[in-house]
Amino acid sequence: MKQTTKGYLAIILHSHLPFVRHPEYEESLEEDWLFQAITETYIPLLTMLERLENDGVPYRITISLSPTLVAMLNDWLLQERYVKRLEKLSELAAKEVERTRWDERFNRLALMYHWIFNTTKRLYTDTYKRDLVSAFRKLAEGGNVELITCAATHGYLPLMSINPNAVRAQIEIACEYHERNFGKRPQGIWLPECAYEPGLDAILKACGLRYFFVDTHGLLNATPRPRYGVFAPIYCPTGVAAFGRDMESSRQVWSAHEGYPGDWYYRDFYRDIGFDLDYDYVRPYLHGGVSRVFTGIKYYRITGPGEKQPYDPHAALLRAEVHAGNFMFNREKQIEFLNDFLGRKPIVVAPYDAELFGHWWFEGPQWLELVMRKSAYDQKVYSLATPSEYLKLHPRCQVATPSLSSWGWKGYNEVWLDGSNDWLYKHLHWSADKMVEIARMGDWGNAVKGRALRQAARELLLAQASDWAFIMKTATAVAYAVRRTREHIANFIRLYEDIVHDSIDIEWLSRLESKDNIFPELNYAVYAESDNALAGSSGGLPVSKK
Amino acid sequence: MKKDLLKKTRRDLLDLARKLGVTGRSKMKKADLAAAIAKAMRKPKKAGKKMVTSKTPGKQRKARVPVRQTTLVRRSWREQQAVVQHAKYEVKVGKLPHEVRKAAEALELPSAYGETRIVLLVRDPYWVHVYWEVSRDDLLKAKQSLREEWPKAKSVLRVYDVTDVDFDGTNANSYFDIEISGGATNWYINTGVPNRTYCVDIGLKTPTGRFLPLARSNRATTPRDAPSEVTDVEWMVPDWEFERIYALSGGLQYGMGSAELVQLVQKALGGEVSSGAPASFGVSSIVGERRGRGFWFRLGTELIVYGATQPDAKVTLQGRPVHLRQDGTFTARFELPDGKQVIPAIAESADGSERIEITPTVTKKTRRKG
Repeated sequence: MKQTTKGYLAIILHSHLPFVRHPEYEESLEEDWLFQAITETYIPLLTMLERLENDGVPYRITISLSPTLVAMLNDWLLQERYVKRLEKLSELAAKEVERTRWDERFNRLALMYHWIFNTTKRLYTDTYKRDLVSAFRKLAEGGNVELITCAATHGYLPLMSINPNAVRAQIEIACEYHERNFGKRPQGIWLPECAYEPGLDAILKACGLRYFFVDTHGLLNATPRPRYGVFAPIYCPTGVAAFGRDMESSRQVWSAHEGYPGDWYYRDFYRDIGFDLDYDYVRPYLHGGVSRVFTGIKYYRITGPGEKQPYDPHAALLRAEVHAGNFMFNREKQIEFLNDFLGRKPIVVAPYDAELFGHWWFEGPQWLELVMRKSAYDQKVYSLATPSEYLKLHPRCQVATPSLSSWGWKGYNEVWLDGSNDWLYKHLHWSADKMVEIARMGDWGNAVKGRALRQAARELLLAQASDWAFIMKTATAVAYAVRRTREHIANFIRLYEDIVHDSIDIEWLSRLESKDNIFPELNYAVYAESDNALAGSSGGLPVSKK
Repeated sequence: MKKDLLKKTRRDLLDLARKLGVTGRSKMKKADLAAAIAKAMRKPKKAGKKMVTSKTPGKQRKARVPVRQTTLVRRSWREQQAVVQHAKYEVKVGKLPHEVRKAAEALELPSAYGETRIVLLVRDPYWVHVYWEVSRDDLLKAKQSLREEWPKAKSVLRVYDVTDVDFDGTNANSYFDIEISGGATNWYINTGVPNRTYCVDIGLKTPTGRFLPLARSNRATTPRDAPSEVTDVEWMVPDWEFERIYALSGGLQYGMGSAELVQLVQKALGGEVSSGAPASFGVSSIVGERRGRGFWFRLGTELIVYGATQPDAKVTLQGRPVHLRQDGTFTARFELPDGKQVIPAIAESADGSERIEITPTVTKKTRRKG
């Protein structure tokens, strides 16, 4: 990191998918979420970062990998199925090469997809040996990439904190799993949905975390007033640092109107042959085999008003370059100005969903690579930094408590707490309380009981995933989200009863273990901590029953 | 002891018997069950109790569960003991209402857990949410306590403002009541003022104004919707400068500042610059382009060329080999662009001695109106 620059840009990618693993079905629609993300986002990101490494580019990036995602990347069944899926897609792409023979505009795209699927398969099986987690670990060991964690199953913490043990378990299990996979405890955490509430930092601290992120208003509305706005982190009274999201750099990428991904030359996300082509022809390649879904083969560019035009990868790459240059230019201006104005080196924090790059915004990984290269060689105003690096160089920061906030619609808890999903919390809270109760009872050396306790924790964690509430609210795959929540809670209830009655059905338990097999080494004792070890809980008063 | 037991229902006794590990319990009559339970209770309990008094559990447990080496998880023996003892006093252990278990077995969720409880959750600076459940027992007690006033009593949420107060039930800054109707078990409450701490009772209110609380919620504090008024002596910043920092943080123009600022920043925050939604995988199965774009129409044209020959023959289409099925048939399918396509199809016998060429020509023209 160049010391002579006027400030820092910290690019944060948050990667997460809920745990979708269905051994009970031959193919499941939801597993394809993972497969698409591997092909379109994770492998392109890895190869992009490896190119930067090989070329010796001085870059920095912070990537959070949610524990559920890591668990899925580690899972042999999903690995197996992913390879099969790639083979299927490669076959479809080969057919497309034939079918589009008379139309050069589409034919070269069909060839491109054929190449992408085959290359991806070769990378996945031969280069990475199906182990993307180790590939990320290797990058992190190079020092340019900082890997951080997320809550164990991406639980929405402010709506869970009525039981602080449940929150602590989400954090501690995540940190342990991170250590197991990446060799050391994480320094930082991406809070699920960027959702923070005062007091949460005490739990982060107890788990050894040094920093997290809040949305812009969470930092701006901190108490007392933050002297440098979002351009310097603040320390919570517990000493954990909070970095605030910069709006300007966010908007340039996220905004539906001004954002880069909406450029007319970029690939159109929606025009997928899974929807566009004759049903009988594509049906064998639709994952799940029934309804029309994405295949990943998309032939059109966004175009703008009027008839959609075929996608032109070269023209799109040129746009990505222009956009990367524009992004760099804007950061230069911004950071130069802020440096003068604040009298301190500002840090501009730009967090994005990783899946935005590649999956939603096809050219995103190229854009990101160009931003990194340009930042390294085409300007001298700012340097790229990770939050840990920044804190090392600038350990003196103001002490203030961020305010409750999230990065969801409207900025608070509403997305995860409204008429479509509020019924969840009764069950989640009840289960969390019971989990604490049985964890405190312990297993007393009874191996089966230990297994049941671990499985109960897994079921609770899986039920807590914020994804379910989000899906219910956005009304996309509601039935699936409802079913998942129900199943996990129902499984939990049965396990709870069986545990306290010493009547564990081993066969059933084994089935559950092999189905919901996340976090094999989970330590359920984290639920048993006594309450007073958890300072700053919001669950103040005991419930009185008069 | 047995007399006391006989007052219980058979199902309660069965539960108890199961907990105590009484064998053959399901076939016993109530009296026998009670006797067996009384006998089992005289014996020292097998699991928990015995272990607590010995000194091994703490150690055993440490050895068995691989515990990370931090102050966090590692407990002193004494703390461990406290945890265990606490567990011993958990009275509700295992007494789930029958319906809860039944629902779980059908992979359904129980509608109630048979426990009295009210929970307060924050939604945003202006709204909080409560959900509650009152057990049948507690409701019966309330009925007894209210006597003749019972039929006229109404369910009420009492919302206390307990900001900066160590609340004891009487010293709230203020409170207001919300009458609950229609058997609701949850409610959204508009509190109006951000950055306050609330606590909510669910209770019964009689026409005479008497309030009988059934359960009290946790405390919860709504967030601010604007910057704090509290300034830091050490990190002091004049108002005008803070306004600019605020504007800059919100991604607004450098020159901006004034009273509308907060509003503008909030709009920027709450509006289109959000997370997740567009890239979410949950959305994948919906073609968003079709949303809100009114009427649309798409048309594609494909040409299918198919035929049959001897299974061991070789066939080419436009000079490229075609894969024959086992019975010698083939199908090829092409996206058909506008213009003229000449499609020479050649079949050659296996020994190369015979050859047939068929060449269709296809012209496509597309017109679009509207």
